[in-house]
Amino acid sequence: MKIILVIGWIVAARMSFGQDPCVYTLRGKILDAEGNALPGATVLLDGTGTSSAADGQFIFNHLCAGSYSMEVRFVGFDDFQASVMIPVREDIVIRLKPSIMQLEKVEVFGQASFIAKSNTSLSIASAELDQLTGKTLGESLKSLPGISSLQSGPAVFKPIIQGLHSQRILILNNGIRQEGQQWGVEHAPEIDPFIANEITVVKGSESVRYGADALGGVIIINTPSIHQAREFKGELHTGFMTNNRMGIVSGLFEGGFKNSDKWNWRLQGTGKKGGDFSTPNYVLSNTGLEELNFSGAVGFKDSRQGLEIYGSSFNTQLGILRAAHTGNLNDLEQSIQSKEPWYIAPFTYDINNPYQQINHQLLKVKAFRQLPGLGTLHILYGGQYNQRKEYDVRRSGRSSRPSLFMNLISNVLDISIDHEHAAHTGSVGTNLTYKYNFNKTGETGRNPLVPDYHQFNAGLFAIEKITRSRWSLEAGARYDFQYLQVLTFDQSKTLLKPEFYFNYFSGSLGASYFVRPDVRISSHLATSTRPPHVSELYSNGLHHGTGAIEEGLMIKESEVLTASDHIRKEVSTKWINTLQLGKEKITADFSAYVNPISNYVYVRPVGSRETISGFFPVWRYEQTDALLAGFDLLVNWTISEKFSATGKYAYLYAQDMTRNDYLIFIPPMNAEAGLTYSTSFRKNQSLYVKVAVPVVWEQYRAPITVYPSEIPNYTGDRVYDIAPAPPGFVLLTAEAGIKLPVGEQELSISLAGENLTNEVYRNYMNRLRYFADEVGRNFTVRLNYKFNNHK
Amino acid sequence: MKFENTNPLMLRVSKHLFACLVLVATMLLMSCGEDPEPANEEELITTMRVTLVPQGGGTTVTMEFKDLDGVGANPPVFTYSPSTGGATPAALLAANKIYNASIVLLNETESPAEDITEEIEEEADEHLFCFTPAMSGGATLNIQYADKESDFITGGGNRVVGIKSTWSTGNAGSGNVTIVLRHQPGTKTGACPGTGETDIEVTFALVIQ
Repeated sequence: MKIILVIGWIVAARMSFGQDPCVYTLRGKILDAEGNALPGATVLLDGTGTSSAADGQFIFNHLCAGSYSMEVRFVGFDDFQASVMIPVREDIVIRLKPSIMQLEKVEVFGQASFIAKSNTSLSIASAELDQLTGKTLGESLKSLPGISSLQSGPAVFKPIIQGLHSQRILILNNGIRQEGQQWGVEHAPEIDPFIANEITVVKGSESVRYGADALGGVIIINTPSIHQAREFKGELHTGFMTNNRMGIVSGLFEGGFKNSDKWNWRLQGTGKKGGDFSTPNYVLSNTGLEELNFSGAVGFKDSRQGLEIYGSSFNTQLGILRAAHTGNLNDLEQSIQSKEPWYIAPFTYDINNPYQQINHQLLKVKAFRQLPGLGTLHILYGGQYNQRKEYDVRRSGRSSRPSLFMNLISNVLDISIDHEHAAHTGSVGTNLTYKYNFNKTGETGRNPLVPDYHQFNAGLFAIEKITRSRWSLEAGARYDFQYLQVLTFDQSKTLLKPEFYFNYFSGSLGASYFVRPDVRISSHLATSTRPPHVSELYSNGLHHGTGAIEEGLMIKESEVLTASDHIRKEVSTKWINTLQLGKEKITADFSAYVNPISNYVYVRPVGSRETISGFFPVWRYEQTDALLAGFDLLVNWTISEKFSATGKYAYLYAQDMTRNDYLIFIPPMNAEAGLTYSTSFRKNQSLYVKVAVPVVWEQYRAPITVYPSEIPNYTGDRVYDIAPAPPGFVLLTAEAGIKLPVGEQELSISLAGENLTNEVYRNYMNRLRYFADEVGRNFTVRLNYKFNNHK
Repeated sequence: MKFENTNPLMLRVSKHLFACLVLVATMLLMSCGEDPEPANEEELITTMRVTLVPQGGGTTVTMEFKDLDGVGANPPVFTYSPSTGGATPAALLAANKIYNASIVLLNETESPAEDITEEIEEEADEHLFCFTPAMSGGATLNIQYADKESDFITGGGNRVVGIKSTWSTGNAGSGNVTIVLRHQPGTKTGACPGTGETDIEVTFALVIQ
């Protein structure tokens, strides 16, 4: 036989285990050799057929115990045949080999994936993503336990994985590390979630595979692989949100070429336009947004090699709440003390100053080739151009000129050889990154907050995994080199060009073990080193987005330091343990982690400074030893055929160990309980109703409060916040949807309501809490249509 | 990779790969930058000077705030003439006198210094100076506006601006006056403090004798 069968664990796998004869379920996923999902593959079980969905998944219900013969067929790949003993205790993953491959023996083993499965990961699958139509990436991810977000207003969501964000987590956008301006707390990831058919979050450190920016975890945006069929097909998503009267349209089309069955194409685009959001009592003036994104791909694939060229463009304009734009401490004090924002105007779609305009362009070229005896060679190149303009309220017509204008050009080249031999899988590779960041100060007429820089990174890694029937072991190591040149100015406006060379290592160890067929425990330990980012080293000046003067680690009073011996690298050790339960009625995923970080870089208010505009708070980057520890829980309970319940819970403890103080902006304890009723009446025709109650507790471990007017006189040494942590809140959300086949096509319509009780509350994790309440009741209507034209 | 295969499809692939490599090379070259120039902070206000000319003759009083490094760490410098001197100097005003006050804003990092007052005058309908005297020891200081928007912009309204004002001193004593420049595009009413941002906030010490 000419295939390799890989039986793998998909996290939160639903395993069938019981005594009743015909209640079993077989789920699985069809992938190609590279791990891309193969939609539309024919899957036969004792002659009864189904086909894999867009994400490669297939499912057979109501199976009886016993042996079945299984067959998978897909154009361009060898047929796969095997016999399956039902019940199967886990989801199965079938990797099809391209047709012309040399004969190899059938290998059946426990786990395989580039992402170590001993690590903890959670996914939002394509069906759930459909229900999130219109939400930003950061907001969509909040549905996973342990994932929260740092918000700057109703449309800027920055994902947080178990307390870490920005430079400490990595976003893989279609295989390419996202190189945006992630340093800013009010900078959301520049990604259109519509490109994804699945989003996976790895909570453990993956710095061995991806480098230091993955020390807190990875968010993987999986796009569907270019399908292998020639017919024209596509999806259309539309949505409307009542709160900010936002309309969303997104479409995806794909097909093949007439004279080749090896080339395929895909085009996708999204447009969004929304006006001002509203709280239950007033309009959040100037919070409108506009977004226009598109992407396209062409792919070639034959037996031994493949090539994919992918380009995407993300463009958005985001209004910043007018009242959140403050001048000095007295302005800030007034804004905090007043119950309502000082500027409230009737609803409008217009976006005025202050606003952000962000453009992100990506070009990706991916190729693979089978190297007999060695494995598969993967080459991935990504070029990205990120442009961020922030517009302020300025004098003399300068409002039409950006106050901050940053450009980041990055080039990423990843080369790896992945091998799969019986119980061994592994990967050896290198990541090369070159980044150039420059400010257009000629256009801004302002000193840049983060200076220009060149950064070159080279990493070498090796990961190897051994799998046996009940357990698997995995180990990895990585070496990194970084060259950094910063182009900044000292006080007398003399150009300084300090250069730095960093060498650092990362390592990881993981193991997982099946205690019983339906219980798995895993443990993953990783240590990562991260040199501070340029923004943490050399930020200098007034950050208009936060209304504070920010000074990096290398700014001491008015002096700009250039010697590398002032720099201490951040060292993080993350140990995460997971218990997974896969009973027939109950599946659960419990993870507990400890994450000590030495030389943890954070920003701390240190006082105030008198300028001609009055007093401004001064925030300085400092380093300390931090400890983060916590646990997340996700439980799904199938109560009956039609009812199921979901529970989520996350708790995080964070402490500044050196200073014996709290850390700021740590997500408070939160939980969610949900109940879903679903029924299907005919083939492919189904209905669901879902009610959920998210609960967020008050952050009792929040820093002390020093109001802005008290800052000039505050002489203490503690970390403080300028307003107390708001009380906890309980919300109510509900959703109903129906899926209807329209001929060969599929149409789904849903109606979702958020904050149904129109609760007036503020969220500790939203920086807008200083100025305004959270968004009030919102209804969203969504219409998704999937079509498939057989030519 | 070698492409010895003469299959036209394979040739196309190799052509494509070549095209991509060219693209990659272009991207890499594009990234080589030049040395940056220091920013010209044209919006910067380094200096606020208040000149008080007494009606009916007497000593002209000036109060000046200067901070050449903007948000930088060097503290601002206050200069008064005539001054009480000492560690905490203050401006010396005569008791029971009426002064015609005018405000000048400068960017002194430029040479010659740039007059920022002109920018305020051009946008008189968006700007408002607010004066808050805080006197003690029985002293009084009363400040009245002596201008309106139409003084600076043609067709301007009757709302006050504060570039020119009248300061009336009463009994002797000491205290300070806080001068705030509010930027209120579209929301100016003429009443202090109103909405908007603070562009300037400076507190001058003064002694009336």
